Amino acid sequence: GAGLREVLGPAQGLLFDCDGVLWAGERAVPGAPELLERLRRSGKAALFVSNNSRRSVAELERRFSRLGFRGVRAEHVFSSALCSALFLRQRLLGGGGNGSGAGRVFVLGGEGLRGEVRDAGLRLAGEGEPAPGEPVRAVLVGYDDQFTFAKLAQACGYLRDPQCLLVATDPDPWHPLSDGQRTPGTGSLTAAVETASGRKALVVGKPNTYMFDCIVERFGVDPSRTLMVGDRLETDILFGKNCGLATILTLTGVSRLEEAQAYMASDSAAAKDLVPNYYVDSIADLIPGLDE
Amino acid sequence: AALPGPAPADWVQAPLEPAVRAVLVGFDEHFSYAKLCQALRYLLRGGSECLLVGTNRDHRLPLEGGAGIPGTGCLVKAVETAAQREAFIVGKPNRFMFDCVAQEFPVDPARTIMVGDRLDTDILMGNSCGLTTLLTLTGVTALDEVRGHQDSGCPTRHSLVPDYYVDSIADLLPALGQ
Repeated sequence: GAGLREVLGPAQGLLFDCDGVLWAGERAVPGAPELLERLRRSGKAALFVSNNSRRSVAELERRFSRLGFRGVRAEHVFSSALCSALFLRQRLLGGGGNGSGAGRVFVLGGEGLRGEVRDAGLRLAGEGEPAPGEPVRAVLVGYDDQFTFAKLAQACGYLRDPQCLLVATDPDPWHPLSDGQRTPGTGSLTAAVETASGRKALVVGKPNTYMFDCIVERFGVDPSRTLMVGDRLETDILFGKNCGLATILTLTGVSRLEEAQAYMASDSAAAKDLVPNYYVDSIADLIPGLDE
Repeated sequence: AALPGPAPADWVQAPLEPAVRAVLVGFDEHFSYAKLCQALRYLLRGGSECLLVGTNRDHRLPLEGGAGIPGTGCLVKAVETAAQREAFIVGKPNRFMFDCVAQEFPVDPARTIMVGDRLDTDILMGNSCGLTTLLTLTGVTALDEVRGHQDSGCPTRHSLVPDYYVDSIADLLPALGQ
């Protein structure tokens, strides 16, 4: 109670990871919708930052609503799909203008990711007739459950041009499924493309800080008054550290408390960056820290 | 076996074969996310009781004209990354294949020459096994790469340096009797 108030009181806003924090599969974490409601009533901002590159922010807005979260709009949601598209727009279009002459993007990913890239004003390889002199200027690796050797070979062909960027939406090696199984993540596909091409990918998602830059540009967030809440030490907590945010680990997702303790006990300086400032069993436990 | 549905959430419901004790990654031009998913399931189920083995780590298979296709090493890396564990690699430069040869044939390393085009597989294995090593320049390696390793102060890089080199293995003909 009292400890929580000291932590939450001064905070102007919270950044939340989504999977394993707000929901697990199709089920909201009990009390999570109420927490967001109470944050709203307390006048604190809630923004969302997710490495999941499967869905467009429009789909995520519908998902929030379907799972019982009120008042979350697409503009509050920063997914690695959206931010990768913004990154590519910046690099290929200089941040504005139309698509002509910018070159195309070869996307390894689903329709959600492809839609975000199109919405950013970029053209996808393989769609429509390429204009003369319109090379593929970037390969974007995302979560692609239709990944094949043929696509890997095609990506490598484009990457022979040193001007062609290699970008990955996120580094996650795997994602948990609701029954305790795991599904391979973008990180495993990126490793294949990096090995084949001899190139290192620019990774947009957490723990890298680009998604925070997107948040600051849109909402002007003060890191010293913002808390990062996540379930994965190697992405969420490290992201918080890299962006100058205090961090809260929630135990409803990937990382176990023992892992955080192991990092804390480690001699390595890098391990210390993976230790959260605080932890809760579930984000519902934050509710008592807010004013009535 | 046919996949029971279009998405990974369906695929992970398919029963696993109880007797599987190893995942072997080789060159697979039909590699797919679904197969990667399945490999991960077996490795998680088996833990240390399920082996993860790769045939080799080659990044690329060169084709004519400087093009190439992804090598087995890419697929091994994908599985290793998803499973967060390291594969045992059978192929060069690991000495396992030399041991297989030596078991079948009477090979005296001191009187055997390893001929190859790749420093980090062929030459490294040859040097590790005490063979005389001969690099041919008709493949992936250029001579200045060798010089770079030779001039480095690093013992690990020195083990990539062959004893001899030829422009092509045809250059060996004059040294042999008619």
